[in-house]
Amino acid sequence: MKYTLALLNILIIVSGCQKADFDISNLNNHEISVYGHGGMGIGQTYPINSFESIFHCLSIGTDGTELDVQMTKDSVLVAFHDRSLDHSTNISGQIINKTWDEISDVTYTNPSFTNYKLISLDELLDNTQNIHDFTFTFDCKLYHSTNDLKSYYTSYVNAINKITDKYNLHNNLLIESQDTTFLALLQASNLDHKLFIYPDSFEEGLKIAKIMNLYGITISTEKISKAQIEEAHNEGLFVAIWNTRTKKKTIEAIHKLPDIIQSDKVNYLVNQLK
Amino acid sequence: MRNAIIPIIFLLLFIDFEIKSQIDTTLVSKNVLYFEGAGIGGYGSINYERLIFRKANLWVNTRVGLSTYNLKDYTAKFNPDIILPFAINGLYGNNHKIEFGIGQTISNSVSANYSTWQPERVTNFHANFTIGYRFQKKTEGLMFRCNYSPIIKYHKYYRHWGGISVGYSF
Repeated sequence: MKYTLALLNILIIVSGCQKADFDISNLNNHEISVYGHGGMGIGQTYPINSFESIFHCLSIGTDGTELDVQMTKDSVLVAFHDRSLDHSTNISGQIINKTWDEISDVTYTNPSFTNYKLISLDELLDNTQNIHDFTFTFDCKLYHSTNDLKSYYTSYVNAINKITDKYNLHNNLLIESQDTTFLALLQASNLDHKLFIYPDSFEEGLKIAKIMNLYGITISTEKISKAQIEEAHNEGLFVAIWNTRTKKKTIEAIHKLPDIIQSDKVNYLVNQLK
Repeated sequence: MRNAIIPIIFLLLFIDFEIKSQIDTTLVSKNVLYFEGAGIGGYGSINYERLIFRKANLWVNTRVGLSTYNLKDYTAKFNPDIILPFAINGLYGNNHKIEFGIGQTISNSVSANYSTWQPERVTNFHANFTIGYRFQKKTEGLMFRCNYSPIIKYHKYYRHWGGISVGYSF
């Protein structure tokens, strides 16, 4: 009897590790692309957007990664999430008020006993192998402290176009933003950019994406249902969802059949879908 | 000088300060094995403590631990981070004790070399401090502790931190 119970336990454990079968129907060739959220995701041992987090994410079988992008005072694109450097690095201030030389040696303060550095997109793309095997999503954070928005946006768009051309990212770059003016400028600068609106609600996102003829919508999994994703697909819009911080939320997200999941549980999502 | 504290703590682990000569003749547990969540080992560590001095309700022990962040490096190859917390602790009380500690955490972790962009193992030293509560009987049994344990990363950046431990004294 005890051997039967032990065998049953082993079977339960093994079946829990196996990947499930999902009947996927979407615009992405009926596959859900697995992206990291800033690399390995929030709450992992690497700081999000660090070289180590992004490289590790790309080393374990993902299709790509989302990363947060900000621009320095001298128009260098940097991978960093927060508005301010105060909370998670060893210096204070905002990226937009610093030159790249001033922040090129900045390190993350977490985890405590590590030495991960803030990186520019040039450093990332220069030193990541086979970048064309992956898709990158630039989540453009438009943190600025200027009244001259036009020149800020123009510099940002130019910086994005420059890096897209330099690394020939035209076919493997998605760009998302909450700002419709910025998206319109990007669109005007290059019609081939695959642009995603990052709205507060699905309804708002659908409306903007249709009017602007965008590529898709990026939205938190909590703000979109399976039916709404189907509605977006019917309009020819791709859907990327994020905020899947637990295994349960990851499975729920898969069942909604989006085109992309930007995951904080990257290993788990890879195991489920690859 | 600051790094001399580690070999001192390590040596103290093996020194017996004639605890038997104290007035209290109860057989005192000199060793503790415990797991600490967070604390001076990072996100969690396994630890061994050895009692080196005791007089009435004053206890002094030394601690060595082992922890890691990642077993594989960022290129997904087996190449574990190694974190070794060392400390010397003073405790005061009967079963319920207040605890003060000071020590060093040695980290030998893997990150990118930002010139070659290849994985590189780097060793660093960090100061650690502990102040908190501990439940531990004189004789063998359950040990519980919770504490505020700030870390001075590279002896430069002050980080608020804390830990909770559960273990067994014997």
